[in-house]
Amino acid sequence: MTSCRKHREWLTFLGFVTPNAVLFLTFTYWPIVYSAWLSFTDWDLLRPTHETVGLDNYLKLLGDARFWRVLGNTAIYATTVVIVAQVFSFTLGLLLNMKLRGQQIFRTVAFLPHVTMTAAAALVWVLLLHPQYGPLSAVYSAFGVRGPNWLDSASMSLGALILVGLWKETAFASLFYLAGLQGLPQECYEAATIDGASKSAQVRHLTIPLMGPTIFFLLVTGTIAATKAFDTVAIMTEGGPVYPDTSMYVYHLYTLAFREYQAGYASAFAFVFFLVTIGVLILQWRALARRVHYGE
Amino acid sequence: MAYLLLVISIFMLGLPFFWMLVTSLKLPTEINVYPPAWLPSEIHWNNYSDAWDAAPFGRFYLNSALVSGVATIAQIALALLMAYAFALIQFPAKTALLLLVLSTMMIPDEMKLVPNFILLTKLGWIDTYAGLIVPAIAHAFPVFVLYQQFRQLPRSLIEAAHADGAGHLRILWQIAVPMSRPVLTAAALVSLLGHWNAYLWPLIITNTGSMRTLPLGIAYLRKQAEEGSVQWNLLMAAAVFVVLPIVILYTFAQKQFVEGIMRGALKG
Amino acid sequence: MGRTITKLVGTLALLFAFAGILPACIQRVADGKTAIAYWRTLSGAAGDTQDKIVAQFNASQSDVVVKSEYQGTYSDLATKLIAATAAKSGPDVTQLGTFEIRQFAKSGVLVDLTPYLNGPNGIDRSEWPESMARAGEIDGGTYWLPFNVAVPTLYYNKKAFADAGIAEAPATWSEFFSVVRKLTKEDRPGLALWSNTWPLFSMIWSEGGELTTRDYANITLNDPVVVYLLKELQNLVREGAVVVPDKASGGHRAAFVNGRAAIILDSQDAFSEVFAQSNGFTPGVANYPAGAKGKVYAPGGGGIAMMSITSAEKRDAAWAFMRYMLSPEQIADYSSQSGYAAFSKSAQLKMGKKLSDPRFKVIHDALPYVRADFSVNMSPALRSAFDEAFQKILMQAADVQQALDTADAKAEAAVKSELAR
Repeated sequence: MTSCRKHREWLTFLGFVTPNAVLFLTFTYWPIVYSAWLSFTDWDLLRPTHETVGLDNYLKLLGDARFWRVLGNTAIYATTVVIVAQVFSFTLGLLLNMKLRGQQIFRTVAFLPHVTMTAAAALVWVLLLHPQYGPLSAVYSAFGVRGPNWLDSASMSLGALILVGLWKETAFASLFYLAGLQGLPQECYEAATIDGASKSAQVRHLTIPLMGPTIFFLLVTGTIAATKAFDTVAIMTEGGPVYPDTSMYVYHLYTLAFREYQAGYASAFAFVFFLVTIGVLILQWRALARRVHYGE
Repeated sequence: MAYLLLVISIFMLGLPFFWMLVTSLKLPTEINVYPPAWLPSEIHWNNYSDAWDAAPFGRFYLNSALVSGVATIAQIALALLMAYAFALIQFPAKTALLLLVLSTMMIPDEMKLVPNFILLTKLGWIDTYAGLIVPAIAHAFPVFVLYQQFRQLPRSLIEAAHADGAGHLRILWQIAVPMSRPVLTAAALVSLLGHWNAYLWPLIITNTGSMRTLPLGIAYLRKQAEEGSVQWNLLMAAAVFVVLPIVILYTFAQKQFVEGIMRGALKG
Repeated sequence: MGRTITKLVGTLALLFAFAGILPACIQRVADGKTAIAYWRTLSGAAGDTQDKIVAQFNASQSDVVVKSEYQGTYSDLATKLIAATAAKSGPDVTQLGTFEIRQFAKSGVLVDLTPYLNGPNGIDRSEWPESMARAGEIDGGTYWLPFNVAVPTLYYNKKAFADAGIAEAPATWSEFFSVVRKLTKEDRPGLALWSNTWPLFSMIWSEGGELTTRDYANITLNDPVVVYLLKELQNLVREGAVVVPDKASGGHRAAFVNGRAAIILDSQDAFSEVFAQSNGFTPGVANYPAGAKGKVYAPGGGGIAMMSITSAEKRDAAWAFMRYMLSPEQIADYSSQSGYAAFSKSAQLKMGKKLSDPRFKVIHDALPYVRADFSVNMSPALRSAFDEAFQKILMQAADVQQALDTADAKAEAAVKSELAR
């Protein structure tokens, strides 16, 4: 390739990339740089001035019980939601991929949770879980017991958040599993059937390895989405019953900046979040990427 | 057996929607009944008109449609260009640049709130459609799926087009785009969903009723919950008409969506 | 190729232009008049009446045009004000809850209204209860003026009272506790408590307890009176006489109107809802009981403030509007429309006969006993420490003394850093 041609390619590349890159630089990278700088200050967002406080915010964070609590809650939430949802949605994907009557309707309903506005969905769940107004209460009353009030107890309300997260993530992931399953080469299955492999053996030795890239993709995107949980916390528990009980990382970050006038400190939170997420993703990559077979 | 399992799972996933619908048709007095009724005693359609009148939902609908529509089109158009460049045009250190773009998916939006708000004030974009739309255009997800798709296009075809003297833009428009319809559909739907459901940014950026979007309308109604009383029947009716357009869209585009996801996100 | 580029660029340009131009078409510029932006919260009559006052103000003179904008809940409004302030933008005049007064004033976000109050176009506050006049005082300046003043109101189920043989609402807090016990039936507790700690302040102050001094030099969340009262409430919870319903289900109000609790402690804000929605019984209203110190009531609601970003030329216009809102006519009108208290004497006079309506009578009977001390609200750290202890004690049966000691220590440390900022 001539150098002239090469340079023309480069210019074209720049031309193609620039519009989006400008937007990324302005509305994504610039805020990060700005926040990075804020994390070394004590700004409360209100005062016109602020002082730099060095690493104070980061040091304070390490000794902050609420930091560890929200980090722990987020870890519990994300791990449970991501892993359990894979099991559910993989199974659901297999079921949805079968030739059954009414499959079209089943598929439509299965994906609904994914497309529902979280704000609206969270409200429905509040009602569903309610010990008196929710349909679950009919079940309780049939057994003559009073239902637990999910949103009133610390462990139960984290459970409620997980339940809603699971509901959405299962719908999202089953969509991908179904898509992945439909793309599998039929010849392999025919060969396996001729060899006399049972259905379950086929799933274990054929489907799961072939679905490697899908599983990997969903683990990564699921982790990213779950660690950012915000809407459900804001609508269902507001981090309560006793504040950091069911608060999660991003919700706490928001609380610090907009309720407690600690924008500088909140920025330090945001940075640590970014680093932890990247760390987790690298770990996932290390642990799984080598095992995934990207077949052409 | 499998059928039973399927029916049970679908029931669990669908229950919230069922309950949303049922509640939206109940009389207010029926909601506080214990244990609750599984079906409304009579269909109370008035809830829908009452909910619609509780906030300027007509205007909110228009705003949501406009903002989501424009933002989605712009997002996909720019992502097409970027994804094509990363996949099929030569440039040094491309992989590193791509990773830089993809890493933005890990940044919580809440973190960008204050800096972007300050920026928009300087631009004079507070409480404008531009302020609602422009900052929401650049997103890594459509870039990623379209990039994955474009990498799989048959090289021979692209090279043949080059040999015929076609430029990159023409190849993108006449070869890459037509061959990527399902992926484009999927990316556009995901993008549309994100814009339609956005809450925090519109809350912060809009100051007047004439600029607000649907999720803020839901919040209008939810406000009553914070003040102590919840009119669940109205709230659920509002939830239904807010969710409905996207549900219809997904139902119709479902086949393309599944195929698009398969090609765009899962084939590496 | 060229054509496709043109098409693409053209479409995009069109879209952006559309996005940019439309709002310009919508915003009309007021010719020659000073435009004032007013942000508010509250829905229903309490919100609509504010818009009505704004419209009346605009019609009453020709120099200033006020535009009122609803911004969601108190906390939505606060979030928006904080973001706007960070960007040096925002409204000129705003409604403001009590939680933000101190931090906003200290950070220089609010204008000290003293010169306006005492100036030629001032407001005669001598006929306001002193507590109301002083409510927005921070470090010698006045940064906030009460507008929608809420007062404690007790609601009771008349049928439940008759069934239990109780003639009228309890007059003292100790009587209150025994009435709550007496009213309790299986499946119907006597009292549904608000998950908000606001009603407790009146209870604590009436019995001679204190949570903090106004300057936060002495924080006493573990005051013996507080310990005693919370122990009493905890016992009642244990006996099944008191519940704390969660917000999502409509909280204490829904419990009351559906007959699932015989008493609630709320403010006059619940009035219309209680009377419109009570199902199967007649509700009654009363003032909160008295304690060892007589009746001492905590104020609630919100007020109005001027934002510092308001340019010097606009401030007189902004003040003219604030003054209009606080004129006796408007306070009286707002009170009769929304149910908030008409807190000045002349406003009460304007209400005339209406004050004999039992609803307004209960509200205004409470006014003389209101101690306009928002110190608990005005420190987020103090409030959150107390709320946490309250929830732990009533919902998780925590040891009262220990929970309050912990909260007290926590509040002291947090307030210290809050004051240092």
